[in-house]
Amino acid sequence: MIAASELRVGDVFKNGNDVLVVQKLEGTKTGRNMSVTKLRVKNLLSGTTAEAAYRMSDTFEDITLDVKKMNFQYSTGDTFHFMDNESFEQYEIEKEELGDAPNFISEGMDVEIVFYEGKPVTVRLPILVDRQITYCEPGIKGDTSGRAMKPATMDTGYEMMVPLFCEIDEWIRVDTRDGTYKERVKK
Amino acid sequence: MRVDLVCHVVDNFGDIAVTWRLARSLLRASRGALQIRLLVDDWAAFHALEPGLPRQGVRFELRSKEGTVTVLSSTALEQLADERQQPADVIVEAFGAPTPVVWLEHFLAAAERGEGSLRPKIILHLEYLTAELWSQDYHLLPSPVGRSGVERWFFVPGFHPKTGGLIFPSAVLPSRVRDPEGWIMSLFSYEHDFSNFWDELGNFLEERRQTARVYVLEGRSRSGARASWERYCQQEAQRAQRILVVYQGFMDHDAYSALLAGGDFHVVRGEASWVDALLSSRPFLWHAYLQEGGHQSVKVEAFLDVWKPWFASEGSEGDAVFEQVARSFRAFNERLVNDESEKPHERYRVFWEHKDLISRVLSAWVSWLRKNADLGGKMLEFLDQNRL
Repeated sequence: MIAASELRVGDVFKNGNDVLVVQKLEGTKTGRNMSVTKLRVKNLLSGTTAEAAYRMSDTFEDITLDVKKMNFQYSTGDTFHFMDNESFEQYEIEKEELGDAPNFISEGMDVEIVFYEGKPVTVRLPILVDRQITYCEPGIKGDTSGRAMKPATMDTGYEMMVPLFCEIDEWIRVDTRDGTYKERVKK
Repeated sequence: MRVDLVCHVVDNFGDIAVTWRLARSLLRASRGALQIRLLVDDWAAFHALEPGLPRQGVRFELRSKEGTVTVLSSTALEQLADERQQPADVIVEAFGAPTPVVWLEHFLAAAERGEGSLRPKIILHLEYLTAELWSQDYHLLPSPVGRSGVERWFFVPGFHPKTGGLIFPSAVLPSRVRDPEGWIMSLFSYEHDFSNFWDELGNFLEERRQTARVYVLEGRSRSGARASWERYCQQEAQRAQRILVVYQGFMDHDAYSALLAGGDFHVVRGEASWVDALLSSRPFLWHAYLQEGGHQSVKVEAFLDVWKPWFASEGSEGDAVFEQVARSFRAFNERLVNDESEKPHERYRVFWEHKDLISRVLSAWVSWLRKNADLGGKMLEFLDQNRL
């Protein structure tokens, strides 16, 4: 069994008779230190996508699927191309199948591709990835609290909030579960 | 329609107070048409709150102005064979309290045997009240639980129009009884040091040549209130004579509502008394439930955000008062632990100096909430839409 609190983007689980892949998730603290989560899931049997809310303590049937380590090669429009690191076989996945993953991956990056009935259905990302800032307003020196934020654009085109002290060309660590800033990193 | 309300008492009386209020709110909204059972795992806590309930029991028909609710002990379900033969159409899991396995499994097993009517059709996960924007996003989201035929949905109370609204207490609040002798206040929070409160109150009353009666309610705030009051009496013996402190024993809901409605300023906490204070339209300071990492400040900030626009009708004075009120709320709630250490930045005076303005603002907001945010009515509407 897998708890809702353990789920991350790209995970596949069984709920009743449905086989679902997590495309997006966000957690929220409710009262008395409890938490709930909102998922966008794709039903691999019907092909439909839906939003659902769960308690973090809810559990689901965990299913074992084939997972292969692959390298993200490039994207053409709405199609993302990956290469099997061992067989060099090429696979294509439509952008809409990838949830928020395109916000965090760049060419040459190794990721895990999940297969269901022989077909690639989703990409599983590490919890933390490093991305480079390509645009933001100039940094404010002296503010190291990290509480005040400003918008910034990443090298993947993803727009997110970063602390005021961040500068263009700097690398930051991003939490792929909710797309939030974690820390600055030196490259 | 049969409705089961499931309540798990975590601490104190807030859980059962809100669940009992929900039962009455649903009865009111349905004009008594619903058959409601309330499953509670702490019978004694419910008895303390509602003296009409016997001290001990397994099953009891509890009457209220709105109708009768069957109270069941969820710790003794094996003794309720008859009840188990009558499953509810709807189960409301208050604050995520899971339906007792033996209760739900019995119905599901019956359904699997082909006795289709013997199972609930919908489970509602009732969340805690919050003013945060996520309450709109989560309200009425499906939450499928993987058992065929039973739908589960999130039902999220809140202040925004697209949320489940607020659970209003009994239809008419007791009349406001004013004390001609002076101010009436009450303190009911989590652990807290009230040194600044006594100090500011003493000065305020001295300036105005007035007096106050302060009810210190039973519970977690009493120790800190008492210790700081005794220190104040030693340091400011003369000014302290303007204040009469009443160490109030346990009050049932109606008595507490009357105190709130008849008072001038209240410190409240958690959810049940927070809503009571808001609906009384009297100035109040809310002590939010302590969350890991001080996350309660996020909830306080969200509440201030929804309250702020209602001050606009009071012009620039309203804006200025709001800023002071907001500072007080923030200072009162900024903490990482519940303790009785000194809180030097707290201010209370704004609530007394601008009592009438704050009351007007609250009255206008409460009128809007009563028209647009009645949780009992909204829940019933949702169930009707699902043809239950």
